[in-house]
Amino acid sequence: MAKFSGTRAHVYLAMLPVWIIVLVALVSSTVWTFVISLTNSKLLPVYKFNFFHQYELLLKQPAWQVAVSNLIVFGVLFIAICLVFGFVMAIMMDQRIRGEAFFRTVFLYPYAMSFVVTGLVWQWVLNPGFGIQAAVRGLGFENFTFDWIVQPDRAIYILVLAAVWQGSGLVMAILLAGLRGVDEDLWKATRIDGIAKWRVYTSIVLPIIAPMAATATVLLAVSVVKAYDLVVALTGGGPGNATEVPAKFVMENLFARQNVALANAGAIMMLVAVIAILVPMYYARRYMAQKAEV
Amino acid sequence: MKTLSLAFATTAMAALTTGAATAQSAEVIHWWTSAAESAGVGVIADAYGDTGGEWVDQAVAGSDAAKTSAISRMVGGNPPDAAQFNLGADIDNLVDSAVLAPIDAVAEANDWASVMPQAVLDAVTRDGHVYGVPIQLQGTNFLFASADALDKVGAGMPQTWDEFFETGDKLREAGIVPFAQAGDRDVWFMNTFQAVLASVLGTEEWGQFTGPDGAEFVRSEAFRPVAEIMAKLPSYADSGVSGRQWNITNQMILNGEAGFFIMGGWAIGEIGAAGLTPGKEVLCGVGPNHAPLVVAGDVWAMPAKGDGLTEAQAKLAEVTTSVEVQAEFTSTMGSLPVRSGVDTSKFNACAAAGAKAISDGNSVMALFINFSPEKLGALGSELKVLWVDPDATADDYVETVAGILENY
Repeated sequence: MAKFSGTRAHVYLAMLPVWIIVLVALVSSTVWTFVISLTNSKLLPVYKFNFFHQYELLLKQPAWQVAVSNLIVFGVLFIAICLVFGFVMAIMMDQRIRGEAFFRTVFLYPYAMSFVVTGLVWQWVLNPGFGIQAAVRGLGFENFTFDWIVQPDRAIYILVLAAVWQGSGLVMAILLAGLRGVDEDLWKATRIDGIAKWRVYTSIVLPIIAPMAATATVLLAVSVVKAYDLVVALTGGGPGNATEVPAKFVMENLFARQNVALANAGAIMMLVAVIAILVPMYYARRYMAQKAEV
Repeated sequence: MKTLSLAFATTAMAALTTGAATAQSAEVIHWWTSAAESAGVGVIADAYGDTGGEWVDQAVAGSDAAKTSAISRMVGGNPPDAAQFNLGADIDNLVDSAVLAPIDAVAEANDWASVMPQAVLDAVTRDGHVYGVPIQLQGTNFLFASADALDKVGAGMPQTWDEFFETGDKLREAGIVPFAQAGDRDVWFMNTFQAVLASVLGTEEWGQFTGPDGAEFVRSEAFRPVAEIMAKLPSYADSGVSGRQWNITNQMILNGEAGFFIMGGWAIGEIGAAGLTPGKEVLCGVGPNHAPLVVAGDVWAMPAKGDGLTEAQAKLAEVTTSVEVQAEFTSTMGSLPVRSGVDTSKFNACAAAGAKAISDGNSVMALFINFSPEKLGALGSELKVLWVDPDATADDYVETVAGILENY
């Protein structure tokens, strides 16, 4: 207690506004969202409870199932490709190349753009009527076809393409910082032992920068769950329902379809999914940290 | 829970209150933001200003965003004086939640019952009380055609769907996209479906589709042509439908890149804006088959502030529905008046076709009027899915539409 009041009181005091914001804005909103998801509210909140009825409706809806499976495809591909691209770019940067600052800016630049701008730019570039396809055909290649954005079974990959373009620069920046933190002596030692450079990167450097990679993964995972603006700007969920995602389903039901309770049930399901991913990750990192101490 | 929502209400109120309102100021949320639209809303604002009131404009781009803003302010306890909603079932949930003030006094004083079409009055009446001020009506099923494109293949405006598809085949051979479809929002697929539905059903059978036995009707022979046309239509469109905004799609008609386009009356304004004349370079009519005009509209919903209607709200309701404002407002917007006694001689060819259909009694109320937003949303998204499925048959359309009518 003495310790608390003596040296650390000001720390807790400084944290107080943050805690108030977290409790009022975040926790209570989440609780309220959950409570409403248990009612049959349509447009305005009414507190007539029918418990998990909305969840039952939600899970039975084909639109929700499609949205979830789209999100899984998008999420897995986006995170995997971003990590690989980001890692390769970081390694290339790490070779002390000339004009490093220039390339770093170029690669990181897309991240400075919002998803809405990213989506619109790619929508125009890929539109078969006036984008790449039309341009190449204009050059005389009449049979050139690149219209994935309007093909129901391909459009999800276009979403991945645009998101990777935007996100891989961030992964590069994080991993590059990790690479720069690797001890120089380690490199000298491996050179003396004559170990191939790729082997050093995969077997020695990668485990060292694993926490960095984990951070990047969490950041990417968050943007996957949030994916809404990119979809709206790039494909509007189409063609058909090929690129519908849960966040868009929630937003649509919230106001346009005047079904607040169902939308909130969807939002809670998204939260549950995030927790299901983050909790094991948290324990894995704690376990690894403990092992490192031993 | 109550204290919690109270806390939310207080926070929202503190954040949103912009200053003490005077007795006669009216704060109005609407989604009229394009050039022609803001000129139109200016007509109402000026007329309201002339009565000594102060108009506080809250324009929010996009109908969904504007409604969201209005609803969250009602929930938060700081409602605007009036907010734009779609005519029809859009206000049902607001009426059920008892957040709107009845406008009966104004409706009676101005004899709405005799100057407004019965269907319009019905669309704003719940349990015998009037809960919305009709602002304008809008035809949603105009068939636009590029005169240039039709000239090239020597065709005129089609009178039947068979003629439509015949001309479509010729257009395709001439390298012109036969049918332009907008695809960035689900509602455009619903709109095209609605236009086809009206052209096949006419005024007589329309009620059977929107009525309680709708699903049964959809499975009957009478509905069959609708499904067949819907299954055929996507093959007459180009590949760029997905994600394309309606105004970009409209450009295809203005440039002569496409032959036909089905869209609401709001597209008429774009023709003039492009320096073209409706009825000359761009032909228009109300669907093939002598289709009835499918009428949608907008209303002011007036949230209750204390006891009943405030003075400002009553005045706004009166001004909006007056003959003078209706005449100037609708001609600026390219829409149709909500009442009789308005001079329609200044209308362009397209708007006049719509006005004539209404005065001839050849009109039906749009699906927005009867169907809940949930039902309409489901219909739009299912139709969008069928549109991109090259294997979708007429049977698929029948089953999908019947399923939605049963389930929502």
